[in-house]
Amino acid sequence: MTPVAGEDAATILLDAQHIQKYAYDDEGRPIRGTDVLLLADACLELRAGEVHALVGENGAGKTTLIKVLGGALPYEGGSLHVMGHLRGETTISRVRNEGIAVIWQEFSLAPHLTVVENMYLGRELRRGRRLDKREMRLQAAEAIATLGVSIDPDSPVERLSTSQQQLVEIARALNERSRILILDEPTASLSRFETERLFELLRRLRADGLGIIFVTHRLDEVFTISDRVSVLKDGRSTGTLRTSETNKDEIVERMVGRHLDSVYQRRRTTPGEIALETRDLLPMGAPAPVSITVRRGEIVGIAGLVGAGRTELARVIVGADRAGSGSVLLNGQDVTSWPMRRRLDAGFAFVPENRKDQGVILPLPIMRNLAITEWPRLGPGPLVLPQRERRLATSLVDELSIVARSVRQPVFTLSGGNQQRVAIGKWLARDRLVYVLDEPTRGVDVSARYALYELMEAIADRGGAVLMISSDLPEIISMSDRIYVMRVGAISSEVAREDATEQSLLTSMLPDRGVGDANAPVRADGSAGADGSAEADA
Amino acid sequence: MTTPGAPASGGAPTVGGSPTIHAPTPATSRSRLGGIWEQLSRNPTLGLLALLLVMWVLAAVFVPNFGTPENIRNVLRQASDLSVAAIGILFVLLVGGIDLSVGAAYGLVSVVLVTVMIETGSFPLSLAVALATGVVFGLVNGVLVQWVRIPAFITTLGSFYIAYAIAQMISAGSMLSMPADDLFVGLQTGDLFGIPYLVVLAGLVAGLAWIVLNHSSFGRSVVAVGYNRVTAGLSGIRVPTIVVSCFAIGSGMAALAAVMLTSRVQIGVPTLGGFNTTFETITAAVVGGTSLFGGRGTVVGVIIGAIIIRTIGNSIVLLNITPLLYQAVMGLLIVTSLVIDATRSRYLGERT
Repeated sequence: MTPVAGEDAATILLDAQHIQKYAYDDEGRPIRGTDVLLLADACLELRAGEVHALVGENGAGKTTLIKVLGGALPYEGGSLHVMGHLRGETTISRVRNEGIAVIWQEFSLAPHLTVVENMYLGRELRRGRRLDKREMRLQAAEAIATLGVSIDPDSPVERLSTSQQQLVEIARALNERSRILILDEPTASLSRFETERLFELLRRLRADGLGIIFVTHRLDEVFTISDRVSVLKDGRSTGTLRTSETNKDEIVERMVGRHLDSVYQRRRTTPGEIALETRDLLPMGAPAPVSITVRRGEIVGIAGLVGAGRTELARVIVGADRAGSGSVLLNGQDVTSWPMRRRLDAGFAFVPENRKDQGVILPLPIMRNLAITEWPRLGPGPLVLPQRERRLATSLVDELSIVARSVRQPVFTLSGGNQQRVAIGKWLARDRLVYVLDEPTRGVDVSARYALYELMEAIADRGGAVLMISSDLPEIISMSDRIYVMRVGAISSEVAREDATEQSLLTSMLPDRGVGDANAPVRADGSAGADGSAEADA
Repeated sequence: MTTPGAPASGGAPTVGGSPTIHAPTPATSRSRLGGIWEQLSRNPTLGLLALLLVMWVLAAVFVPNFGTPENIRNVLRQASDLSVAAIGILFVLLVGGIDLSVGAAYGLVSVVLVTVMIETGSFPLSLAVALATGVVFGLVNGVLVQWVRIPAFITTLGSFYIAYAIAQMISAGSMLSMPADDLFVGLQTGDLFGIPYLVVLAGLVAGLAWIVLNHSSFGRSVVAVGYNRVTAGLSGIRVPTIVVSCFAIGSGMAALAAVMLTSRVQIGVPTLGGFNTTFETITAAVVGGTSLFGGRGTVVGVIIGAIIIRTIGNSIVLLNITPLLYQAVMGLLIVTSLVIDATRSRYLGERT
């Protein structure tokens, strides 16, 4: 493909046509000639003076595409023209010369160095053989000033807020005379005010003729800031639209390729006998005892604010922490004194909220992660037969529709939704009685969410009792047969599905005014949405 | 014991069955970016093996008498006890720990071995008591680390001195001569088709360790705990048991290595190992590609690491250079290995 002749060729900063990027095998070689591509046919054209939004579900290939555009990865098919020049394989430093600056979600600043030092890292100004500190400081201060913010150029970067660090990265990019700015989910960790300020800045840079690629999960931002929006689905471009001529529904449809109902509807079921019961169970240090029941075939939700004690309750139920007092009954049997291992063997399954640190072992293959609960049963005596482990993992990967080329692939190569399926999947090798799921859909995109909902239903249909903690109110209302609301460590109400509304749940979640609750957090994180939020439910 | 799928591990510990972790991958073509470097970073054992072969070729050419069969046998014999101890410490490192007390365990075990031998005259009994001493010593280390929650570094530094002191007390500060015993002398002089018994023994131990690490529930658990003990625990693995077992295996293997070394020198003395041995053992593991942060490391790599170290030591002796150089080279080796390890982790994207 040659760049479009004639029409404004000069103003096209980036022209990516039909980019292909292969997945890598366990030994780091690209796998050609299969249908598993990270990018199958990705196109993106960026013009000077535009903000171009890039959207798509987790795993659609957004990050891979901007890595290719930013030169962090080579591409294996298609063509990429930067300012009219075809770029082949390349490296980061050459990309700097091309005038492209990528601002990753995790910043590439050295925390102990000052703002000035960071801005000139690797390309320090010199006078003779010595560093020209004064000139660097002057220019840095100027670059920061043009952003219209006040940041002390001599402050170590680690003392700056996330938003300020981001601004330093942008200032550095401007200082390097970058004409193309690529921002990877820049608003994910910004407050509303900081987001506004960032948008203001982007509008000014746009007016100065920069081309800006803006990756985001939040569709409302697409409409706030972008001129055009490109959609990726499964590594393919499903269209570039003028933002002024489209709407959310159209974008979502292109993202998921089908129309999703806005709320998942759980089928009606008749619950069986009680599988899990807690009697006046008091997690260590908790203010109040908790008594709940979950029946077989039932999905019970636990709603509450961050800090309401939901995770603590879950951990005490499965035995990860000791109880202060009270008891846990599994199928009518008191298991309070049992260590976690024994409870798990007896029929508990636990999917913790912090997937990367507690749910999966990132460097280990999918196979090992899925079979970890079954190792003692995979061979004669203490041995593990590799073929039995592989067979088990393969069937689970199929059952869970995990998108991976091979069960030998390390889990860190998977998208968030697929990692979560692995974290749940390790409990599906055998039917468990009680599944305790802590924020199972946090940081997971729309269609992977649906798959997880279907999975939970399947578990319930097979007679499993599901206890699901969630901060997403629509989710908890649509999925649960019954809902417990927790407030400051205690159950503040129990709501049947028919009676649950976001309003009623929120009311019982929020602490009463006055009564010594001054320290209780009053922040609903029902809006979570943004993935990977690191906050612990502590 | 049924060991399906486990390749017969050959006599010499050099390649012993050469287990590659990755099964052959179907029809893949070579990457455009640095095929060799990428190969090496995925499978560093190949690189190590190449390094060892290059060293041997260079030594055979430039070091007088290095290439004689008797000297090669000697190098391997010297590498045998180091390999066994290093495989032991591989378990400790895999699970995310460290054991500085290895060298003192050598001295303690050698003194115990010879003392029991003097008292009872029974080699099997002495051997059993010596190995048990090592295992109990490791259990104590493990319990202190796991339950009392003293960092492994401090615990084993302390137990180093305790073991040394106990050894001094038992031996009353003197060298103990090993009573003549056919079995024991045979261990050091005998051979199987030209391969010294010590080397055969190290090969058997390596084969067993390889099976345990790669094909058992325990071995998988060790790696899982080493990479992420929280997830491992929440998945139903008995983390404390695994950690303590690894320390026990580490010291147990050090005890076996001490017996092998004692058979070579035929005396029991508290200073048999010392910090040098601790250092050599950890160096062998790290040179062999074992990560100090847990989870990654292979038996074959560790053995190659041990042989590399002994090759360097042997060459320095044969060249008649000052032994001080040996220490310097060891230091250089361990630093280089750590740099390579860190680079490789980054390259593989294992940080997160």
